[in-house]
Amino acid sequence: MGLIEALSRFAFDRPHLLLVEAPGGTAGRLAVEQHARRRGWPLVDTPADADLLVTTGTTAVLEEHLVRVWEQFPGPRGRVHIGPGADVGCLLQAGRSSLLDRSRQRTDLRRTTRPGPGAPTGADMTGHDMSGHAGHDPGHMAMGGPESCGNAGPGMGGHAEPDMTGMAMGGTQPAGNAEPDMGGHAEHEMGGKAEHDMGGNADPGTGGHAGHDMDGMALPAGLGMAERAADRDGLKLDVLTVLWGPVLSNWPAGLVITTVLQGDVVQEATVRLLGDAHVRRAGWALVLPRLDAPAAAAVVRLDALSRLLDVAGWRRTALRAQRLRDEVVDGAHPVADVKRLDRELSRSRAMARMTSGVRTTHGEDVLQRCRRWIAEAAEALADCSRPPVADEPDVLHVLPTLLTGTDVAGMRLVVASVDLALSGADARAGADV
Amino acid sequence: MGDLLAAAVLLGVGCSLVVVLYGLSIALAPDPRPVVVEPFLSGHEVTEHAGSRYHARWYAATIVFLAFDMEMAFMFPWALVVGEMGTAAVVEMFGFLGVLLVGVVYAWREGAFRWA
Repeated sequence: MGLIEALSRFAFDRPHLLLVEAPGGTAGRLAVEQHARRRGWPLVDTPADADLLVTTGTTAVLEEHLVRVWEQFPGPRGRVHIGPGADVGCLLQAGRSSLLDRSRQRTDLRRTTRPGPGAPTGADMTGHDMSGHAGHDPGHMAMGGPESCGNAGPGMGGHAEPDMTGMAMGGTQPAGNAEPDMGGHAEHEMGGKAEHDMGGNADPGTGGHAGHDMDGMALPAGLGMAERAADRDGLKLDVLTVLWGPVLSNWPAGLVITTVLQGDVVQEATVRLLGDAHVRRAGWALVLPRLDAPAAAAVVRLDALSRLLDVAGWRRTALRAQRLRDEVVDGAHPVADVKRLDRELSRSRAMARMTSGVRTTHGEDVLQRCRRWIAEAAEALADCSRPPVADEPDVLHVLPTLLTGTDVAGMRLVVASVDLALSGADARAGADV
Repeated sequence: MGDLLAAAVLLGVGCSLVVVLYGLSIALAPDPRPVVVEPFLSGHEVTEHAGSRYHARWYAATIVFLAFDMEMAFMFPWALVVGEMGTAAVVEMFGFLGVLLVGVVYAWREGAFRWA
């Protein structure tokens, strides 16, 4: 009826986007950020808050993570993939209209099985099905898709898929045994989790033993409590293994950091980068080739700066840096605006107190890194002859030692401060990022 | 009888509010089942509970409780009579609060207020 339609239209006036950048998806990310900023569509941090899952780049390396994140989306939900040369505005509007299509949403959600906490998820390809595939047909790919959105590549552009319960992106998957009965999963929870811990736990011994400790007792949601160990002050604190990325806002694409936390202090950190270096560089290569070297340097620095400011919580200035970045990409040289941004940054006491003293690479702290980036960007735009010096490429080896001993907020600031080195924007040959 | 009517109206309003909200949910929700999922861990599988046990640091928490509890206990009767008693009472109470504040500042510097 008309009231429900009107309510739906009101609710999805500005759908919340969960933007996942896979390696090589830089151009798509820039376009989506610009679109979201102009239309006021929020970019959110978690699937619980999001309506559309927007992916860019080669998502094959992030496949299992995207499956899990998609399962955590409450309905109504939609997926949009931005391929190279796709019309971003058109695809996002198609995604939005798929949210308004109520019968399609009902069908999608009715077919979805959510294993819930403590049970093996659909992402473990151990024969557990994704029952949505039984109903999935390639015809859905064309919905609101390539023809109407006029992408450049032959069918390689993005497509809006409102009702996928699994990743058909990475290739074909067996339709699996149809298991429409969800009761079966609930029984698996208690028993299945213990053996699953033993088998599938790659992280050294933290959560694995908990299953045995309380054999007679039901574990809350099938998950064990964290083990305890002595920390640096000699207290016995819980040891929590937290993985950061690849699906995280303002996070370098494809980066996965496994931290062992006690309290909120990082005791150990292991760093892994998914995807190849050349894919990463190719992502920036779609954005930068029309620009000369100084303008390109300014773009990558403004981009890294906007992400760092967003991590620090200064969203307004982060959006200003994004706007300046987009202006430089379009060919302008907003030197005065960049200098004004620099002055605002230097005048902010909150920023200074938050970020000075947080050590990062090159012997700088995060505040100095911010100031240097923006100074280099201003200099590059003003004086077009000298491109600035690139950041060092082997930051992956240094990162674990940098992160150990910081707290969680410091860890995110440090990772954001090495965003430039990890982005693959530097054209140094032989860089291992 | 007027009171009974008022109570009945209130009950009716409350019940109808609940009914309207449930009705809206049934009409609008595309899926009636509640969403039961793992916590968001950036796309990874959750292997342990994130409810970390931590040390409560009872000494620091007790100092803060005592300071504000004693302040409250003495300020309630004081507030009733301060009008008649005049400026001296105000000065004395604020002196007392100053003493208690020393304890709060000590606890603050010990990090009793740090949650994260």
